[in-house]
Amino acid sequence: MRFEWTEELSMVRESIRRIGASELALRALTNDHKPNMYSRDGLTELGVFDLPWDNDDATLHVSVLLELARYDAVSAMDVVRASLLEAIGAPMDAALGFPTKNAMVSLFGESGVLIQKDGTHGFNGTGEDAQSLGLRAARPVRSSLNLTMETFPECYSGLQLGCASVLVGIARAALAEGHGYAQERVQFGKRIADFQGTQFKLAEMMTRVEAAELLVLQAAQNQEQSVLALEYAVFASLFVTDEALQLHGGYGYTSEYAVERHFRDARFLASLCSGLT
Amino acid sequence: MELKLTPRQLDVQTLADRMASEHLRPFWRELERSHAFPLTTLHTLAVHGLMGVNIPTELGGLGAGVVAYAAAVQRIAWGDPAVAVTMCVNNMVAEVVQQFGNERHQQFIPKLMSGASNSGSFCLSEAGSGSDAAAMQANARRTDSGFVLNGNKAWITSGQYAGAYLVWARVDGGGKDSISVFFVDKDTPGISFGSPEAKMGQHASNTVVVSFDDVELSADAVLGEVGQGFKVAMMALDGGRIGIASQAIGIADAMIDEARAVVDVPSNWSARLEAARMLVWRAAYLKEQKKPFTFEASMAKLHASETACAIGDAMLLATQSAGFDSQLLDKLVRDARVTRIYEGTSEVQRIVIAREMDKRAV
Repeated sequence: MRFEWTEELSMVRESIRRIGASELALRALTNDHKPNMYSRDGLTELGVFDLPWDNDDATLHVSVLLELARYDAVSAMDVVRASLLEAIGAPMDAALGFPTKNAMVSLFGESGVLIQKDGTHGFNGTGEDAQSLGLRAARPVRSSLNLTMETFPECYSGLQLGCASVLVGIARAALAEGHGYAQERVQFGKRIADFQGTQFKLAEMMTRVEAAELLVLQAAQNQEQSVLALEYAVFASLFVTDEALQLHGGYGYTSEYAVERHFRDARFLASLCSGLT
Repeated sequence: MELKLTPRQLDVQTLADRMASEHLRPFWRELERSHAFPLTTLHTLAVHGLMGVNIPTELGGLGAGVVAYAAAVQRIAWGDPAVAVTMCVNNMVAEVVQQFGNERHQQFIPKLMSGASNSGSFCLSEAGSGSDAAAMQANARRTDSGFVLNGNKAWITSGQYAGAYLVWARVDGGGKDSISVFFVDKDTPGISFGSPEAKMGQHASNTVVVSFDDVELSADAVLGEVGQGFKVAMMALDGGRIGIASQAIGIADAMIDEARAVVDVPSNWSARLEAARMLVWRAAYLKEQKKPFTFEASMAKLHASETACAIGDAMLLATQSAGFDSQLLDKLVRDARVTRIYEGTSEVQRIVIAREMDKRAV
């Protein structure tokens, strides 16, 4: 066992962190309200859309997603899309489709590729473009299932692991927001971080984010664990984004703070993933 | 980043698994009923090196490291959690003596490793001081020849059977910075025991009050230095938390195995267990690399113990509602409950985690 980040992974994380904090976080906040503004500016140059998906060791991929999703979950899902489409040789402008119980939800457009466990298929469908709960800048479209293409089972665990990583990144972002806010906000004459009620929440949030992150990293090296990593990522991200919003009080309910988006993004992505576990 | 067990770690895990299957699991019911201290079983585990997985081979240990230790405790706890706790305390006592003890104290380690001595005890808590260990009343009065120790230590694991005791006490009634830890041989006059606590679970582990009445100790009975005791205790407990977290993981493994024999277990429970297990591996790894691990051990202990109890409740309800009644599952639920209490309650772990979070970015 070795838990240290390699130098290569540290550098990748650092470069994403730099553009993330300076540009992506703000852009994600804006794009959430103006979905048509989504672009890959700044990220294409980093090469994150050209990473080959490696089924034997996806550590690099997962590291990118964990970091990127902290600032911009939509771009992170775009990386998931690009790598999986690349892996199956699908057109790069195709949408990524998620089978849910009664319908099909595609990210980034109206027609494209659906990856499904028992025989993976493509789909075509005319969708209904209503405002979605989360990942709004990815222009999610709901459509009826219309399966047409052949199978891509090799991508299934990649899709699970990719979504799990993005959920964990969202949870980490919400944790950081809640943590930072608790240290600034003063009520009853002291920082709310000094109340044990707050401290206990933060401790639980931190613990679950760390556990979730370690499990996706382990699954990156043993993809049979992908489904468990996804299940835990759903569990942890729903909890952490909820508690982070609560720590913000009334401010957390307004779109002035990013935590409100993290709450919605986690729930939206988690519900898309309900068909994957 | 390489998140797999090494061949050596897998070997230790396999060894512990064999011990659990052959020497523990077949006998859990008998021990549960008799509340007997399993001397023969403990001897067998010692002979196979499991009382000092992280103790160097020169002292009779396995020298296999902390990750291997965590793997071994998980499997032993799968076999019988009550035996695992005795194993955990023995490993912890051996590590404290190895790290802080003088040559005389260290002579105890090979005895503990070989099974010649079945256990050691860690005497920190008192009736009035659990989480707040620094509030202890036990006192060691300095004399011309050394110390005279007085005090009552509560909830002492293996207390009646230990070959040696590590006892924390103030020196000359001083404050927290006078607290010191003493090595006390079992044959020293003045040691007595209360009757074993009637516990909800962990029946095969011995839990008693150990009283020290005018126990005369030589000057070299102090481990490390006078006044170092509180620091030693906190360091030992950090490591101890890895042991208890591993115990909780092993119990949860056993619960899921037991339930799965009769019902479908939803995979979200396995997911939560695997996530907690990762926290345990990481804390163990950091300790093994001699890096700071207090924060990570608290997260591991908190999450492993809380998850194990949640799994226990879920498995109990699932099996019962399907019409199955498992006495093993009942026992595991009872045994698991204390993992959220000893070696620092879940509340104490949250305090430790939050304190650290206040100093760093997340």
